[in-house]
Amino acid sequence: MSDDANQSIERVPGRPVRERQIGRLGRLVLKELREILRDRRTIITLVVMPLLIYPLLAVAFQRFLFTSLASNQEPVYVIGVGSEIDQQMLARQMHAGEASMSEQEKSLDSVKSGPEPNAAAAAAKKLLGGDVGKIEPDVTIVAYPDEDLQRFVADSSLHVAVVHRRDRRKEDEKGLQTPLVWELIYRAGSAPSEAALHFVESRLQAFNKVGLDAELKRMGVVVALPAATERHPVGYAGAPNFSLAALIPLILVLMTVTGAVYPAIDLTAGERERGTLETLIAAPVPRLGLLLAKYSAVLTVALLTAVVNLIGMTITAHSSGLAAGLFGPGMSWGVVIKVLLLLALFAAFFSAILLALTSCARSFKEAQAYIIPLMLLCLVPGILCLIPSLEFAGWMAVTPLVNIVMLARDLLEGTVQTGLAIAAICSTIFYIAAAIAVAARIFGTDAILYGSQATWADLVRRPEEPQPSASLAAAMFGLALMFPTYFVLANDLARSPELSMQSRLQVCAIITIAVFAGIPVGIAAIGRVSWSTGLGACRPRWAALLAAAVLGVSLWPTAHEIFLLSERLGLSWLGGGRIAAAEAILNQFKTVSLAVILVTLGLVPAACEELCFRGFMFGALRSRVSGLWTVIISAILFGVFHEVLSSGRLLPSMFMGLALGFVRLRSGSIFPGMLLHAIHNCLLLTMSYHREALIGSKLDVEDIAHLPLSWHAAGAVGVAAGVALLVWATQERTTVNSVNSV
Amino acid sequence: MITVHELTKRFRVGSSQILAVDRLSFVVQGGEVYGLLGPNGAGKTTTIRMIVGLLRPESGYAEVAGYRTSESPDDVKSHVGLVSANDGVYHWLTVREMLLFFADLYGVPLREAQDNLRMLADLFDLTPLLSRRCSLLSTGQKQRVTLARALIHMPPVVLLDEPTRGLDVLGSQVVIDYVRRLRDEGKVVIVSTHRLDEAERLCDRFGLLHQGQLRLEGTLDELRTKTGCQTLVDMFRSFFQPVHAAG
Repeated sequence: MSDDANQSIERVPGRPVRERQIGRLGRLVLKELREILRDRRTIITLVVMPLLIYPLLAVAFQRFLFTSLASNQEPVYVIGVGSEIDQQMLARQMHAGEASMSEQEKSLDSVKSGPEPNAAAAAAKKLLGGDVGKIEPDVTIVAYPDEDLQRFVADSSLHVAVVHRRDRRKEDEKGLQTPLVWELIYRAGSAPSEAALHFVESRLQAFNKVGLDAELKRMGVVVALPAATERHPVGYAGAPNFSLAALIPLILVLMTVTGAVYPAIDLTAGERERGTLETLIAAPVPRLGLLLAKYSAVLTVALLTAVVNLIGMTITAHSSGLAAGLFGPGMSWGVVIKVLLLLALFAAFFSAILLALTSCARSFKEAQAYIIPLMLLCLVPGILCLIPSLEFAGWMAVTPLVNIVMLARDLLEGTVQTGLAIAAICSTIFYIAAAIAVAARIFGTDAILYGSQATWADLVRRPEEPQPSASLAAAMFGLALMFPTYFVLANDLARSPELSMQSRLQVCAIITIAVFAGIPVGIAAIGRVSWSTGLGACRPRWAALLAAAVLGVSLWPTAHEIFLLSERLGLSWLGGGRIAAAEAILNQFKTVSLAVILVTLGLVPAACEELCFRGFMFGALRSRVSGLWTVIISAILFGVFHEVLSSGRLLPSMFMGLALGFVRLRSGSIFPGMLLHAIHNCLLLTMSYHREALIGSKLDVEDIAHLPLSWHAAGAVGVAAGVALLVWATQERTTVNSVNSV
Repeated sequence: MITVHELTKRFRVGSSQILAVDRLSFVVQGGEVYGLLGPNGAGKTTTIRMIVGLLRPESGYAEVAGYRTSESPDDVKSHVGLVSANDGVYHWLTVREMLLFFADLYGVPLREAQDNLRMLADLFDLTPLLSRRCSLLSTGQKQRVTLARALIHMPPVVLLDEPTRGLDVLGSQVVIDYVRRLRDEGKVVIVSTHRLDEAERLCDRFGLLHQGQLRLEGTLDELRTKTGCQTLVDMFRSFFQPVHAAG
């Protein structure tokens, strides 16, 4: 053994550094794409299938669906009579009846803003892109002298036969006389025959009414009709009865799933079957990095497939005349952008879910077995959104897949609500992150690599050693759990008017503790995360606390201006309704003591949110990214959570998140941030509580007005002093850290 | 240097557990080729996997170049070149693409990776195959690509699990020659193989595993003295056969 033997194993020169990791991630994605796209099976799924499937679907639609709808659009009624005299008489009477009905309908035109009485026919017209209007049947009256008209009706040669009969009553009998009776022969149970019957009958009844009215007028008699009826349609702003646009989410589901399935299986279970998984895991690349590269590749292929599908579908729809039904009068750029954005969202969601699922599989066969139930499950929301009466409710906004399917439907129909849309998109992003994190945790584990027995309990198995921080996967999982829980609970609380303000505040505090403290602490406890390094629960310097207190008092004028800026940018809206609602809440605050308000809305959120965002999340992010990015990402998350609960708070909350993140980064502890946050909250709440007194002393802060310049100047001095004090107080600590990092 | 200390691994099979590696300890110095030998199921592959960090040990630890696998897995991995018994190739990549891809995974700059690729391609006679898709390679060619893949980042520690699997005599000789060269360069090499004749020619020291335990360890001369047998084959016969028969 040579002396320089040990020297040669000191360090490998080309070890990856952080700066090169992003570039390597890109090359990993390219490699995965190269492998996927060179496979002919992918090309067949990607290009050939849409070229075959959509023309076939179009033929099926036209042949079966639209043929039946077209018959509703302009029905043809063939009416048989026994002689030419009957033919002329019936035509005259029906014409007179028709004229009478038209007169009646004209008088109702002023209220005809809603759908036509014949809703099915109107819907059929709308489906085909036509105007919602009256449908005129094509009526033919044919005379068949000396023929068995009943037989013609029975064998469907005629829709209705009208046979002239004599009145059975005696002529000298008093009351209503019927010298002519038309016997209407029709096929009972046959929709076209019964529709023709209704058509003839209604016109003859109208003709009789006109005749009777004229006779009574001639006789100078006034007779009151005991129970007349009149139709009065009203406008209906709800979901239409049926719209082909509602089919688009289902089509998007199918498109994106189809595109993502094969690459997801190939890049996970396929790796193991090929025997490349072990060598991949043996390389010094974090599993999350590998999974992100695989996710990007699956997403790209899913998007490509979806776009090719969309192009195929659009060309087929235009060439077959179905485009109007699907996209309205024309496929505008707006619709194209909407559909592409939705495709991206669907593809992002399915790619992550499929990757998480196929990462559990040890073979192609096993992966396919996992995916089939998922695909069936995915069809449920797609079909659900076809139900016109189903409205996009709060709980749906955070239910995976249901949220984006309903969002897609409402977006295409132009009835989307911004709050629900943001909640749906944010929750989906969190689910995507959680799915990738789960996939990274499973992919390449003992159980998958070598088929050793493992259980789902292994996923949440506590590590044997204490961990310096929560893993990024745990943080993502936490977000995916916290967001929907908080959204649903907070919305339910907002819809509980029976609760008094005091109870409401108490419940709100309990929800905040459960979500922002309970979930992160629970996950941290399972992961044996250190309280001091992982959650930042360590003793800070007194000067850092003092600096935080100064910042807590000084930051609010800037936050107020940022709120006004976000309004100017259109990110929030302070309409009369919102101001009135805010004032109503402020008035309700008077029913409870200031102490309760400060504890429930000031101190509890400050403590719990700091534990969550600047403790748990911050620790997990800091283990992966630089301090700057940790502050930025945690601030964005902080802003998003606040925006979803109350529109317009994104920018101000992000600003506060940046300030709080800076304090956490410098001090290394969550306690200064808690103090800053608590002072900021309590100050604003106290000012709101004593608003009337402030108005009296001319110190009122109007919600929609800029603050005086002197206030900003004072705030700026405070911020500068706070930052300087913080930097001074944490200088030594930061220096030690940089020395350690070197 | 590789240090394996009291390494233990159990596998769960149904309701029972199998002790695959039982308090295994050994040390391999730089410039040494260590033969990890034993019958099927002795725990050789499991040991190699635990050294790289692919399997988590129940207890004990492994250290590579001063890095402990449980604490610095990425540092350990970047120092190790692994040839596994069931290695595969990426069917849709060419040999060049695959080798450069792995060089990238190990953080080797492109120019350096291309130099390494040229050298390894010459050594393993892969130059005519560099533009060929891996799916079109024969078994022996795939094995040579696998070896080149494991060495593309010029690791100081090389773990070879059945490195001559699928190779003919000439191919095997190339591997043997290269392992000798690695030893001369001061690198640490652990070889696990069933081909005892090769192991005799290749390894400086041997660890004979049986049922997860290190039963014998030493140079060939030391083992001859301990067992009274002249060859590894005879040692295996005398040492493991009765147990096999009983099993």
